[in-house]
Amino acid sequence: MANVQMPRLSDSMETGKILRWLKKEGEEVKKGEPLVEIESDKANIEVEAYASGKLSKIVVPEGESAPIGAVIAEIGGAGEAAPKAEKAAAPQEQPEAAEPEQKAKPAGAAPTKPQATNAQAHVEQAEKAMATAAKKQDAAPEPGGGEQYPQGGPDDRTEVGAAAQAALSAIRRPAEQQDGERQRVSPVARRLAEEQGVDLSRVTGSGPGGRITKEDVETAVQQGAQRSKAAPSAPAPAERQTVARPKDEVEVVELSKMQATIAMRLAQSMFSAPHFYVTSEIAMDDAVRLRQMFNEAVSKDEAISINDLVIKAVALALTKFPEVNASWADGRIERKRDINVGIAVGLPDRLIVPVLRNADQKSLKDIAHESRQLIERSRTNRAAAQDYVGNTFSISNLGMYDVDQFTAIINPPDSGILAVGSIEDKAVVKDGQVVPGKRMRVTLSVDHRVFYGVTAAQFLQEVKRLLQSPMALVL
Amino acid sequence: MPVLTMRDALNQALREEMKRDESVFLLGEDIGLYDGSFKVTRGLMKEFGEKRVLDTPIAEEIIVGAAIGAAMSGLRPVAEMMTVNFIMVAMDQVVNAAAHIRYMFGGGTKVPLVIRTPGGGGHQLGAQHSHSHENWFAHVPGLKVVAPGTPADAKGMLKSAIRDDNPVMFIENEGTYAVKGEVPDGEHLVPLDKNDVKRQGDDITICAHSRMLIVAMDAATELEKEGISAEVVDMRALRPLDMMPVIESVKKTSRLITVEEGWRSYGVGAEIASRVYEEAFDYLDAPVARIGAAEVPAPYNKRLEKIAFPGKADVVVTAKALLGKN
Repeated sequence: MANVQMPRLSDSMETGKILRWLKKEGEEVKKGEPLVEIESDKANIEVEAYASGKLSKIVVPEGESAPIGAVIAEIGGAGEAAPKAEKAAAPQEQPEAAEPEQKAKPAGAAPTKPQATNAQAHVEQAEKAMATAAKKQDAAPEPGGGEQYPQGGPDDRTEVGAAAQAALSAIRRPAEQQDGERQRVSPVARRLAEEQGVDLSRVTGSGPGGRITKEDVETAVQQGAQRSKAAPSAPAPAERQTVARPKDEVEVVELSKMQATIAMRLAQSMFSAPHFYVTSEIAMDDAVRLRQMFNEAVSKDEAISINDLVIKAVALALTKFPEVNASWADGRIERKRDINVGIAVGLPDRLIVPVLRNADQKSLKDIAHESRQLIERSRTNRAAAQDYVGNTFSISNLGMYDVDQFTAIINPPDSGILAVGSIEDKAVVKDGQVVPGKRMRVTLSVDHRVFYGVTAAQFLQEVKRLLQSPMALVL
Repeated sequence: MPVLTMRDALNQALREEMKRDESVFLLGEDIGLYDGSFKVTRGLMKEFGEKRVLDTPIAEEIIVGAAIGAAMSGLRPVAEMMTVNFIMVAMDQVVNAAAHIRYMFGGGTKVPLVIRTPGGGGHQLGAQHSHSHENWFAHVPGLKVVAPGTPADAKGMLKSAIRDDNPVMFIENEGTYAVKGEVPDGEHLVPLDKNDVKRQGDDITICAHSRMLIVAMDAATELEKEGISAEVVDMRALRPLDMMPVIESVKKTSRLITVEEGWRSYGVGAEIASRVYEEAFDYLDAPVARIGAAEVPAPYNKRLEKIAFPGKADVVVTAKALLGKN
């Protein structure tokens, strides 16, 4: 036995009206045959039988309305006795919009015409229909206070749908790509690192595709703080306890926080990066002359130093040698797109390396101006944290202290540092004649993991060429 | 506070404004005798008469055009488009007339018009009747566009919209009319240009409007069970777009998901994401994730439709992906 229910014929439909039964009670009905004509809020629609059998009972007569889902008729199996209609209809709500007297009319009576011209009657009828619908709605459980889809909607899903696929593939895409060229850093992580002076090349990213996230930087800051706190104090007491020297034999100097950091970083560089050194002697006659001419032409405030010429020469050479402007990063090499030259500034109690950014793109005049300010700020302790980060190559110049040559320890995360000695007046052989010449020795320290001897030599040749033909530096 | 459905809250707003101001009148298809396709205008023709609740022919361009004329002549019409899908035939009136007239007449006339219309999909109504077009309107200077997601906001914003001297696109949703919530009695006004944090959280921000607000709130509840604290910003004010609560939230959480029922491309989420990139780039820890309808005409097939529109699971999974938790 099958119940025929009022179907949902439009989304806004709440009740439907039986216009015409196309089969009489007791007649045989075949599945798919037109059974009843129903008026919804939008149209009149012929509804087919969903089961075969005898139309044993018409519950809702023509002209009456019933809410969606209400039983409007019953189809019994072939030869099956008609069950009691009241019983089958009981769990469903009675269509309240139907008038009692209409209900009493025999089945098959002519459809009652609604009073279409009377607005009042229409309103009342609709109100009743609404009341029925509202009662039904209120009784239905509300899933999570959300939308009520009649047949289950997107909110019933527990699996992700097509709606989020594009967003997810955007989020997950970096995990599939490993170009290994550029370090991925989220904007907030980059900002935080700069504020806190965290060297991002030492941070391992935990985000998709190894992106460094805010949390990674925060962890690095915490660890860094712990390390620098532990570094100066930890070895000291142990030493003092185990080696019982008389107090007057040694003077124990406690390290400042900065000294502890310098000690740690230089040791780390020296003992993790395999250094090798390449030295070259550069004829500085033209460079010295150029500097004189330049400084005669500008005011004292704009004067350039030999070091400024070296910075410019190194920066220009780096544009041709991206393999030198690079870092060792946990088993990969990162070539830096910017050329930022660190300038080692020695002070009695510390060594600091402020960074001159994009040195390759700056004029000699600007380099002189900026480096003077950076050095001045560093000496007077007024430099900002960001003055010390972002270096890609560094220069250490002891030329003013009368040294022939020396080697420097690479300043992380760089892979090279140029140690610059004094300019000396020497007897040199030129065109078979011994003549006076100005010579400067420079030594390049190289992280052998990042680049090799031939590259180091060629890079040095380029620096030399630029300083020996210094017009290129002012162009 | 009384608990009302969204449809009753809207009905209350209309009734109160019609009582307060005689120049307010309603027009639309089946809104009088039939009480409206979604029964939002229930009982209003009976109470205010056939002159203030006009049943119109099925002619959207005429409905909007007539409403614009009435608005310019001093009335405050509230036009109902049975669904947003039907407004396409009236777009010339909406954009070329309603949105631009005040500007083109140098302020000499104003258009205090409200167009109420529900959008949204998920009801097996097929591609042509499942649209969400709020981004179309939000693209146009001269229109105000709001899309409330709670009954209280629906009432408060509809009252404010009726009192506004500019055309307001008041976007409802077929799926939210039965949603219930507390609604303040009487004079309750919600500004048309203020978005609102509906739930506080620290780990991730979810922006959503209209029915998607409910989806976002449900997702936030789900995420809480997994130890993820989501902040939900209700983007009920789409034009002018109030970004302040989003920017403040992103500065706190560094991660953002936008959810909309319409297509992603050129959508509400695209606009929000751009503004965040402009105003809070340095605070982001991950790219903004946009969730929207699949880029296909809405399927009629029930199973396909179910995966084409955004649901709670989409938000939950995306949130976890952004936080690197799946």
